[in-house]
Amino acid sequence: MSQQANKYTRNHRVRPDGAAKVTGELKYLTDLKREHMLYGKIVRSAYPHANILSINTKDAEQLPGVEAVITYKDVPGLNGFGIVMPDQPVLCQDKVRYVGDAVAAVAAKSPEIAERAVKLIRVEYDPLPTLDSPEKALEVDAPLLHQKGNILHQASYQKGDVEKGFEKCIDIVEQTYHVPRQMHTYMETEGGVIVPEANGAITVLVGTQHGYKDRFQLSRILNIPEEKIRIVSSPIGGSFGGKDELNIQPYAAILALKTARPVKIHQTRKESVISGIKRHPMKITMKTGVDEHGKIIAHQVKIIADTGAYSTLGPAVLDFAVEHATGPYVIENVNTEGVSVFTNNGVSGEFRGFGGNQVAFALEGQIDRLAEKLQMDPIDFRRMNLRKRDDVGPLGHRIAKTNGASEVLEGIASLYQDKKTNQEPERWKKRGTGIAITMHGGGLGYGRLDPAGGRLSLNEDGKIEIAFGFEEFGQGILAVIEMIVTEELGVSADDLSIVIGDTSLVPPSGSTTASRGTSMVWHAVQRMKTHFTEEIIQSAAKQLNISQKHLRMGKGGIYSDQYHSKPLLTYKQLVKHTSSAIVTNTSFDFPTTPDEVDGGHFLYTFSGVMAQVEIDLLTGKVKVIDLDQVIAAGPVVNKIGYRGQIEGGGVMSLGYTLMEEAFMQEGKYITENLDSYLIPSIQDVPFALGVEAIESLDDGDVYGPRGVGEIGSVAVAPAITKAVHNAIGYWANKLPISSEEILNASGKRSVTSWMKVGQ
Amino acid sequence: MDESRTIDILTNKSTDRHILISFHMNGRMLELSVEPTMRLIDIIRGQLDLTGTKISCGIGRCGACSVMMDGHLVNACLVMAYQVDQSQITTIEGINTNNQLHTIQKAFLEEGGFQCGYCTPGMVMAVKALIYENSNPTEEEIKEALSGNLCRCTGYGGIIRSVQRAIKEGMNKN
Amino acid sequence: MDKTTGNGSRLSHSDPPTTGEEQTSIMVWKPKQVEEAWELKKRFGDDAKYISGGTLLQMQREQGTPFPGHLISLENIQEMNGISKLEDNCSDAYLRVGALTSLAVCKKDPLIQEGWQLLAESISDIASPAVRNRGTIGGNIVYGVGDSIPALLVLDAKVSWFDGTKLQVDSLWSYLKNFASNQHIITSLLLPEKSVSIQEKSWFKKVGRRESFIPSLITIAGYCVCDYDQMVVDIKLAVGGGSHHPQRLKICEDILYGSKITDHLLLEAYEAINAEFHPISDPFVSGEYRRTVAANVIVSELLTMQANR
Ligand SMILES: Cc1cc2nc3c(=O)[nH]c(=O)nc-3n(C[C@H](O)[C@H](O)[C@H](O)COP(=O)(O)OP(=O)(O)OC[C@H]3O[C@@H](n4cnc5c(N)ncnc54)[C@H](O)[C@@H]3O)c2cc1C
Ligand code: FES
Ligand code: FES
Repeated sequence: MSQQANKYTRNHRVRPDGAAKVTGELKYLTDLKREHMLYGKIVRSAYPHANILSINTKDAEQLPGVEAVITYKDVPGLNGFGIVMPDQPVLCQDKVRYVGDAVAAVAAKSPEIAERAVKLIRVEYDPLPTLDSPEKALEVDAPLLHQKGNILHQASYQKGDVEKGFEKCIDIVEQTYHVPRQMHTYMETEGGVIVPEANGAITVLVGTQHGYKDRFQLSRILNIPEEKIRIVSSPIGGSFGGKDELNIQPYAAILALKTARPVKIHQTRKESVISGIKRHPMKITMKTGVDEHGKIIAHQVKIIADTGAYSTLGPAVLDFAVEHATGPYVIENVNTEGVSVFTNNGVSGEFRGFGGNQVAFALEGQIDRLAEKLQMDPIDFRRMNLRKRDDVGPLGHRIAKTNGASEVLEGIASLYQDKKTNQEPERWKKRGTGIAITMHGGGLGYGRLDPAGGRLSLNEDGKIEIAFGFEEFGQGILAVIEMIVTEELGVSADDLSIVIGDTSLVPPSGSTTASRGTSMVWHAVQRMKTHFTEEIIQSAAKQLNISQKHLRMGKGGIYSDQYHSKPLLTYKQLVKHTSSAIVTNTSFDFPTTPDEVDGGHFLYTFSGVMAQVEIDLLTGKVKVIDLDQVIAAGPVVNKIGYRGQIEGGGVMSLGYTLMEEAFMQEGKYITENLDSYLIPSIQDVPFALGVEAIESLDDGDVYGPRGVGEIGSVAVAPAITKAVHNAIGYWANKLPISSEEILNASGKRSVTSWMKVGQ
Repeated sequence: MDESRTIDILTNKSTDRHILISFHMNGRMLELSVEPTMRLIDIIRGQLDLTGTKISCGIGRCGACSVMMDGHLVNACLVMAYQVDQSQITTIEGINTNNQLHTIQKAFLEEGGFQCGYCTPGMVMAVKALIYENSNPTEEEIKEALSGNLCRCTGYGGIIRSVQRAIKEGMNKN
Repeated sequence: MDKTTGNGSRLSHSDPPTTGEEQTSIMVWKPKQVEEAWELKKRFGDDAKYISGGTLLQMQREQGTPFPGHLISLENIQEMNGISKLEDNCSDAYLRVGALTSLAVCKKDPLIQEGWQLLAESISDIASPAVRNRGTIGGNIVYGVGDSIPALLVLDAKVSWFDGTKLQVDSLWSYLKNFASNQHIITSLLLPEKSVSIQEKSWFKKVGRRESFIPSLITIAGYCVCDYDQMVVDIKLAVGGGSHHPQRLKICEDILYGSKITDHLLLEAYEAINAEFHPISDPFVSGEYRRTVAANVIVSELLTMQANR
């Protein structure tokens, strides 16, 4: 990792939560047990769309060992949830809109009894026509899934005049791209324990990305004040956006309150597949034209997103896709229109990349197709159309100055030179190489509540306590916090106590999402460090009777500028004799563009990807044999964490490109478990994945390291797709790319033609 | 596991529809009265509260529940109580001696072989099974040995580096 | 046989005692003789199943097929274990592989690796190391669509089974055709030793939607021997995969047998495969895809024999 000098010099560090993870000692929330705990199970709909005629729970209630059965009648407050609009019923009353809709739930003394009780609940349905595609849902006579209709959200962006632009084009490519319903496939399925406390309060021990948001939503559902709800949400066995929305919390909470006993729910994989949110499937049509100089001058985009039965973050995902539809390219005339449509399919929502991965596949596909048409080198063609350091953002709004686009393109171009092998593969095999680049906004964007905050204090044990409302779900935020705080305050890891993931202990920090964690920690510490250090030094000066200007904070305590080998005062000694608490709080908003552009981002990260594939002409199998990424996201805080995020994101998208699809037929999942919903295994990935970090920021950039949770997943699909094209001349416009289409495309079905292949 | 827990289990109500099984769990002899078709994963997590072993797919397709049975890697979600009788089971809790991290665990820690950590106990068991049989595996052998253990976070890069490190350290020792 | 005494020791099942509720209990029987196992099965009929490693049955239970009331575990039947060389009365040599042998043991066995490499190769492509440690070769055959079957078919394997009175032996191919639906106990596999030939080739290929640890879309195995004149003197081709029961490609074999491998012959072979193999479509691939891959793989392998000339 190169370029600018990095102050996080010792940034190869073992994660603070590591030892407990490798020994299995760490208790995940789904590992917990409490005395007198009951086991909950949720009854989900038998149909993707139906009216409920009746719900009969009598037999279930009478089963010995069953302690409670709940239906819509038992929801104390608002029977609905959803981060933006609470339009998803907690428990359906008269209608179900997808197979994951909950109709009833039970709590019993053992999981087996709960399972049996569920089978005894009889629900009578009157099935309705299944709207299993946006097209069907948009038909004029389609039944309405929600009162306001079947359109959840529309978003658009206009610039110049595309029609006029196209008239001036010498070449135009028009193509429709399809991207699948991807499942987060966090290895830990949803679950945890909810414990009733005195005075009607509850403690919610369930993984989430945003404890305060869950508290707010649960308070509305349970009709109890937020102060009575404590959310403990870490550690989490993976989330990737999938656990930002509520999942099993409302059921366990209602059951716990009703029975006055702790209730545990841990969904099976099948239950998780059926009820959990997924990445939005989209149909994206792009028409893109170039003038005689090879400059893209017109770009028209239509996005249709299948948002499933309920809203959750559907509108924001669509906005993001619309914003990123031009990526890092500067185009004179643009017209982007997006619509997010309710259907009876699984609910789509937040997922690493947030709509960016979908449009990046289409956009980079356009770029590569145009380059081919123009017989230009794809890298040169990109160079020609790329944004420059001072260019505005994709919605015409001001953004933090950055040369990231060009840096990653040049980075990947030189990798491409080194790595594109002309090595002859075995007979019946073909190899190809492709590249792609992208630009990705961090934070929630302009006009979205995006508050952040943290707290630094010297606690009673003499530890410097740093508290954030973030969650740790694998991304390594603890290591990032440790790294930044020790570096900025000059203290050692042993001096620190990091507190996260518990609403009773931490200040609100917003959601752990949208690649905002690292940025947020850095910003918060920047804001707090001076004040906090001053307070510490002031207090120490008083105790030591030494002038403040001779004192500084260091490892283990306060040092004087004369004497370096030992602190004059340890933090423990300091706290013992300090009269008033030393606490610094901060709250601020994640930096957004100063321009009033709804959803517009301010901080962007960039990636360049190179993929090499080997195609088996006899079977159509595509194997990725090289996957390298160049990332521009500011200084690297934690090397291991950074690399892991990029590699992990990359492989997740390798899966997206070649095998992952939560396949639905008539509103029902065909892929119900990990035998048919496939994620890459170790055999599907290149043995060595390349990650190169460009750490430099623009001169005068005061925004520090950016988060890299998403960027590694965004531009992988188009790079692989181009590599396939490079190998066999076939353009895939649908993901995942199937062996069957490759076999058909390589046109080697007649013996006579393919006998000559590879000879 | 402590003494009292062992006794607890022994006094667990047993009915004639249960069977009595005895086996070694992480070196300790245990006797349990259970349904014969109860899954080993439910014995480990549910009855013994050894939650280091995870569950994710329940059908043998992810490796989160990997444990050793008589020295061989198995999926605890596919093994039943009656099969456990008279066997030796080792879980993640049983592989570090004297509170010292096992070489493999250390390697995972230092090379970033995990993120969320949910696949990690199973992965560590699979690596242990590999190195136990073959102290110097090739790239292909590493991949084959870990092919039944899925990880969603790391993309396997960190895991491969961890395994290579563990192999190297293991060889240095000998 | 008394279920509480003797060789069939009684094991039973219930729900947690806390429920105080009667559930039909599942009993696991552990007979020590094939005859006993057979008797138990006769006694309980459809309410009983044999079980070996249990990997398949346990997975199916999780997916919604409940266990029957009785499981007859074959694991304690000694004669179904072990790998050893046998000579039959015509002094042909066989390798006998007990049906209870785990897939992992089969894969690693030095005798199998040396003489029946194709079987080891096919097993490498089944499930994962952990599943192979528990799953048995017998279970894989009775599964009906197991990936070892195409390999065993081209190895001309025989099976031995217990039909209620005695042990029967027949080729696996004829067993699958005639008896697969009967609930016999498979006791062992017999792998015939082959004379070594210079112009010989065998291959195994499994194609799934991922590189490994994956249900098969199509599984192909082949064995071909040519004489010095490039004449095909032995040929066996088998395909399986998905929910398709493995089959020999007899028409194609007939076309190849006794002929010289030429482009023209291979073209005919390709057509024959298209004509005789009718695999099914599923949500992931079409039958057409399966057939084309089978034909591609087989013909490409044979082509290399021709190129060797
Ligand atoms: C995660 C996973 C992945 C898998 N992947 C594959 C794969 O890639 N390829 C593949 O081919 N299979 C696969 N399988 C299927 C199966 O587990 C294996 O085929 C295994 O070999 C079955 O053996 P078993 O001893 O566990 O069978 P069991 O589950 O014990 O029995 C399977 C069936 O055979 C019957 N049976 C068992 N032994 C005998 C016998 N000796 N005589 C008569 N009947 C008998 C049982 O009644 C039952 O119907 C997979 C299974 C799992 C769980
Ligand atoms: S839980 Fe056992 S293999 Fe997935
Ligand atoms: S570390 Fe999260 S699944 Fe492997």
